Amino acid sequence: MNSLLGAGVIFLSGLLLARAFRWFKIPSITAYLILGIILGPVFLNVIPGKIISISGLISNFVLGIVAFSIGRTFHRENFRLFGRQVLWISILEAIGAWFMVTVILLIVFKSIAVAIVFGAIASATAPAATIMVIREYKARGPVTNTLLGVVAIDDAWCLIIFAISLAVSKAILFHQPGTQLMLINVFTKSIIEIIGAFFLGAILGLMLDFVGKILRTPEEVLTVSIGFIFVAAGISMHFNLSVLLTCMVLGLALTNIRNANEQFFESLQKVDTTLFLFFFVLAGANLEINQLENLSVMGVFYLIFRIIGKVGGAYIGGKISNASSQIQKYLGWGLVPQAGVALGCALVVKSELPEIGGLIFSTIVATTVIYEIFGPLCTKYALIKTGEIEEKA
Amino acid sequence: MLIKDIMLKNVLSVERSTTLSRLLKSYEKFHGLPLVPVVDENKHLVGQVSIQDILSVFTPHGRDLQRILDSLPFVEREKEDIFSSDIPSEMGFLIVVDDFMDRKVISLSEDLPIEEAYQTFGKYSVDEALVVNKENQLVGIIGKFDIILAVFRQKGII
Repeated sequence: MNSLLGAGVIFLSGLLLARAFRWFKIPSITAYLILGIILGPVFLNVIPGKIISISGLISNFVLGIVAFSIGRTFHRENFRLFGRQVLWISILEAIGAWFMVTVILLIVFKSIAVAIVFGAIASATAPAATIMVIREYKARGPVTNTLLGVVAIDDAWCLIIFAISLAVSKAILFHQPGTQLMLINVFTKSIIEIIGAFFLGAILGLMLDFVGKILRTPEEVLTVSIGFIFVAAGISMHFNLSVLLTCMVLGLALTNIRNANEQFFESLQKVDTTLFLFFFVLAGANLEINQLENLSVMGVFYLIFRIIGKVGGAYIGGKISNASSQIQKYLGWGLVPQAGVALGCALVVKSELPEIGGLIFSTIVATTVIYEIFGPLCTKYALIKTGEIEEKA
Repeated sequence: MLIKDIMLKNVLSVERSTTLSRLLKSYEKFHGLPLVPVVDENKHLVGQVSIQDILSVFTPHGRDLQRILDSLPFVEREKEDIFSSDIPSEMGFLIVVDDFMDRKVISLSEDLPIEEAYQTFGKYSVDEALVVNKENQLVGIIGKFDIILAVFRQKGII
């Protein structure tokens, strides 16, 4: 099959399978992933090698768009809307999952570089799956509202935690362990990667705001948006800065400079669904079957301790912010689903740290499929327990 | 020609505290809902209400949160179900404009040439915009049709 035909098959069968999965109340992302696994080298092997070989490029670009869109969440007015409770809970459930997964994998596998990155990916959630459950059962009430606020912002915390963790992990892997010099090097390199990304994102944001004033048509706005995301990702890669953080800060800067800059985000929303389909199918196709035998123990630890971290972190966040006991006890269960951002982060690890990335990526693909099927059930459980949906639902 | 030469100056506006019920009654005799400006006590423009904002009343979790959720990657936009929605009648008095107005307003300066205003409509894919003076006070409203009429008038067609 040639590349063009392969791309056509991916788009059309992706849409069909997503429609079919919707009948069974399974999120579209799971359909795309499973399609990628079936069409990829593991089973049918019909996705042309040329398409698989550009996965890295497509992933970086799509993740740039994802991070850019997530940056929009940091609009100053949103913080007023979210309030203290959502901020405390979202920060602590993200850190809780990062901490629990990092600690358990460090104890079991003795590698801080692997454990810290796994932990960071664990902090991500899947707003789409949680929102799907809330819409389907028409959930209403204080727990539902807090849960929606938390899922709206927690992937933004995840990107920050991930960028810092990846920088530390890279610095550890690239330096000889056990020396004092190594600690200084790790610290300096990580700080440069993070601060550099912040500066680059902010400068590009100012530039894009300026360029936006001279654009004439929606088509020009879309073209320039795509161009700037490529530029942000490209410069970041060239200077070894965090691509995700640069793009997120670009979005953050733009949304806070002028209301009119919403045009950039809205233009990308016209094309992002199609790009996400391609991205997830390729993510599924990149699954390495030989890694599956190694991931059983790691996958089980990851699945269990991520949930403990989310539920525990949400409990502590709820306690600190004086949330109701129902929010403290059950909100964390609504955060179990995991999908797009976690997969994206895993793809970044795969391309930036190939020596450990294969195992991490395969674990995240496998656990995403499990979380996307059982995660919505956990969300439903939380909402039934709090009385915000009826038990018979 | 500038916007202030052709804009509609006598614009009906509402305040943040205007109830949903009062807003709807004010416009029920109109053919459709125009862009409704929201102003403070000093006539400063603080927001606007469009038909889309009115529809957001039917979304269960509030307009602002819904807007954030709709903007997240991988999340499908929710369609409002206006027919099977269970909004009680007292909500007409409990919901106020501040609950659903759009705060991110793209307004035009009254001194902007109409050619630039027309380009702006195309760029943001809108058909009308609120007009403000240098102090950001509401002074009028202008639509694509006002500009088209002005051009026809210049050419002697009307």
